[in-house]
Amino acid sequence: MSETTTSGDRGVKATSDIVGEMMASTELSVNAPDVAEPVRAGAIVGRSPGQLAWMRLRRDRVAVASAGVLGFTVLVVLAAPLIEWLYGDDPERGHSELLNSIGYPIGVAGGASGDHWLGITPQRGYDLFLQLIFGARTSLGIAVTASVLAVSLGVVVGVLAGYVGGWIDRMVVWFTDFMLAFPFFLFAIALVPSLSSRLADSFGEVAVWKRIAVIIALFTVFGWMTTARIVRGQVISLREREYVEAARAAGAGTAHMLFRQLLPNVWAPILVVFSLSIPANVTLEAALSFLNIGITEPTPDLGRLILQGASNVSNFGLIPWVVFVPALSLFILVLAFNLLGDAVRDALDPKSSR
Amino acid sequence: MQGSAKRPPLGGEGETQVRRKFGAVLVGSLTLALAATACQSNTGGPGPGPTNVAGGSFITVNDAKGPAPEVPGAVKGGTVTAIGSTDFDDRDPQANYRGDGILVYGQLIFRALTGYYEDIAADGKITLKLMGDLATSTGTTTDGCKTWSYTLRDGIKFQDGSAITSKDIAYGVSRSFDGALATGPQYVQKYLAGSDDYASFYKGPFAAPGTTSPGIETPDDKTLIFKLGAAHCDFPMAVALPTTIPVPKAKDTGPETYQNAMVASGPYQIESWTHGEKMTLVRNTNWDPASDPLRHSYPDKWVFDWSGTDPAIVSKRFVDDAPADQAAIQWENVPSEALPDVLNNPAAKARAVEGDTVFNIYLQINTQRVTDVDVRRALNYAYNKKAHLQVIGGEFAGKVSTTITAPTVPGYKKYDAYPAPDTGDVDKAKALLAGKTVPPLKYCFRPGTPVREQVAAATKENLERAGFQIVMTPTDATTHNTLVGRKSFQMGCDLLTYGWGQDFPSNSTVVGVLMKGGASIQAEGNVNVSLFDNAGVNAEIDRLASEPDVAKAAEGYMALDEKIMKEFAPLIPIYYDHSFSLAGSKIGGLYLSGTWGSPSLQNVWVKS
Repeated sequence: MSETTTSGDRGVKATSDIVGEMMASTELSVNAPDVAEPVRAGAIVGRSPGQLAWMRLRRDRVAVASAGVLGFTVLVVLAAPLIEWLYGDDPERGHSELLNSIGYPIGVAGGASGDHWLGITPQRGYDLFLQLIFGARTSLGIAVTASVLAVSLGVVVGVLAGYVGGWIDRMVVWFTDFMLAFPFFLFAIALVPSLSSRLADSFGEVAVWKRIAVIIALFTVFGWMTTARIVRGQVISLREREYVEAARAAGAGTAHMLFRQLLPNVWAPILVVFSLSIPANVTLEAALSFLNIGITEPTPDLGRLILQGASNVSNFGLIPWVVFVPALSLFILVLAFNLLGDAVRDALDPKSSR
Repeated sequence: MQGSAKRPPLGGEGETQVRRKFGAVLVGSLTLALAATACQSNTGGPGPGPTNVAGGSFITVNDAKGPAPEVPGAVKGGTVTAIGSTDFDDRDPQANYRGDGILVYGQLIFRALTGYYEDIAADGKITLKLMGDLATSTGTTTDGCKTWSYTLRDGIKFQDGSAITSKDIAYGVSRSFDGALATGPQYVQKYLAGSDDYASFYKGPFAAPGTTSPGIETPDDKTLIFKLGAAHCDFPMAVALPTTIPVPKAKDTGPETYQNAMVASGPYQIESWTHGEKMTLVRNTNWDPASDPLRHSYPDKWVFDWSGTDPAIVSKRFVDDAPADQAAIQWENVPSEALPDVLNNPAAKARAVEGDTVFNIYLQINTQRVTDVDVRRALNYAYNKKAHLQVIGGEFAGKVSTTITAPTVPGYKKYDAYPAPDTGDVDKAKALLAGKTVPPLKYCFRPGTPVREQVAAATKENLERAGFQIVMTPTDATTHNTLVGRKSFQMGCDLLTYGWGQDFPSNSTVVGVLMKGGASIQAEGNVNVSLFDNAGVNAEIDRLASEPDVAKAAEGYMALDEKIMKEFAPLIPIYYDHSFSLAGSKIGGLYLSGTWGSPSLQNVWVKS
């Protein structure tokens, strides 16, 4: 169904499919002026805002590079079992025979060899290359899932508050502020160990997936607030627009208003928040490992690898592998996410200067 | 230790750094030398010290008078900071059973009936002397060790100036009978009761107000008579334990709360104690050095800093020796990730205090759940002790152990019931398990630090390569030390790491307590963690306890040790503990104590 435009529109308004990894098919009402770009001299082809955004993104070299890095990471992480099989080792196998008596890798460069491309970790003797891949898998898996859930929850809450207004809005705002004031780490330190012991099975062991679920739940419960505030702000500013009023006057129901009028216009900020919350969650999960309430041994974890690297910073024999590689990997990942998020925001917002 | 040997600091796990305090003496020309008559003491020097010679013995001095001999070169003044990461659990004086806790209490804050003094000769040889602390002698007996009499010294006072009387000591011993304080040493209680079940002998002054333990007589303020239920010639050593710390009855608010306002009897008193954070001790002006042959009081102040510092960071601070850290003592072992730092720095290495301690670290097997002896033997073959040591610091953390008794106990003889390389013998383990279905084994461990978790992961991996199925069950890190002595908790685990060190120089405090079944297995404060109960072994332990010839008894215990391991394998001995820690450059008088298995505070002073 096509939508109306406001009188201020000069540009093309059209229904279109918004193509992109993170956007579903929907229709977009455009309020802002837009410029169509000619593909051939003399011919004027209309393009949807989505297509325009995509073109801008494609032309941004930084965005392409970041997307490349992330795509490569996703590929590696998904193919982790295959890589393990090809490499011929196990990320959780300790190679104590390759360590000297005080637990440090024998040989130069932290034990790097044909069998262990990045050497082995001290004390336990894990293969660093596989630990990195599987650790990234754990950390990224948690971060992405938590972000998806948190952002979804935030959207629901924000739309609810912004659209319905009144006392529900006031209540939601109060609750959001309350949750924002919560000291996350204190709560995590208090909650994770006791929850874990409750989730222990008849043997007293807590399955890894249960631990992961606890952490994802924690991130979700403490991560929806930013999205909710942003979405609520957007919805409030949008719901008084003339086209929305017109739709209401024309008899549109709530479902139509939400899904056809409002939500399509808040995608941009949601997308940016999502892409920025993933690296935040990765760092947060690493911080939980610092506090020993994250993912425990022997499950590989990027946060724990970084912690080990930090404590070994003055052991020159382990530089650069154990000390720098995990931290560098996290840095590159976070940088790629942030740059991509920035680029997506720039691409979606035609008013931003580039 | 734990146990008459106190638990290794940080409770039952005994692994990794923790509580190790001092190591060998490295001050000036003093070097620790192994001496046949000295308690374990080790030379400082490159690399870990040499193995302790078998047996630590001591001499008894019955006419000791204060003040304690001056330490050459020592001056008064300064503040010593001890930097560690875990506060003492069980802070009540009668409930304290942690090696470092007992040392700090005994050398700084509280006096007991008797005590130890380590006399260091000019050549570095240490002679351990047992002498009267509050008492004038180590005790007199006229009826073959059943009745012991003590006369208290003059000039002994609490921190508020009131005199310490025999009634205060009798009260201290009496309150130790209460179940809430069962986590402390239990020798005096059991000796008075004449059996291991001392709870039915006397309930304690909280359950029965106004009473004192039967068997203790206080005819006047300066005389104390103990009438034991059975003859025990090692009673003078038993009363050196914190059980006999005097407690003024009027100030005892209860077994749970007295720890918040304890009354000092030693050279220092508690100025403030923020649990888990910091304890500050200041001079007790009512302590009279002339009445105390065991203690010095050179520093003005002691600060115990437990503010959650990472041992690796602490080690680096000590290596750097910044002005603020020069009058500090490292309370825990140098962890493995900081070892290269220290070993590559000769100046830091020269300030290291190290040596073998009294502790032996085991993985206890619940003999009541894992009832098949061959499974327990297979566990002994399969365990990879080398990998375990690699996680915690190799030869600086310990040496592979094959016996229940540690080399520091009199009578120690090396044997290996399950000869295997240090990495374990998987084939022999698998051969023993052939044809058996072993249910998954629940492995309880204390989580909370990367090292502990790595050790747990290593244990699981190494046992699983022999075919076992190991279920990792982390306990609650904060309550682990209270739980680990609880029988109901021990019943729920198949494998539990537990360390032990002698309580006094006799194997009766190692094999005699760890392997004694029957009534010895209690609901709280149970140190027979493997719940091992064999009638023949129990009888032999009783026989050895009443053996008058000390040397024969020591031999007998060692033979029993070997028999138990070969026939029953109730535990896996992992390593004999070694202490390696640092001290700042302004600390003088620090040395590794054989009695306590950790650096001793007895002679510490601050250089200006």
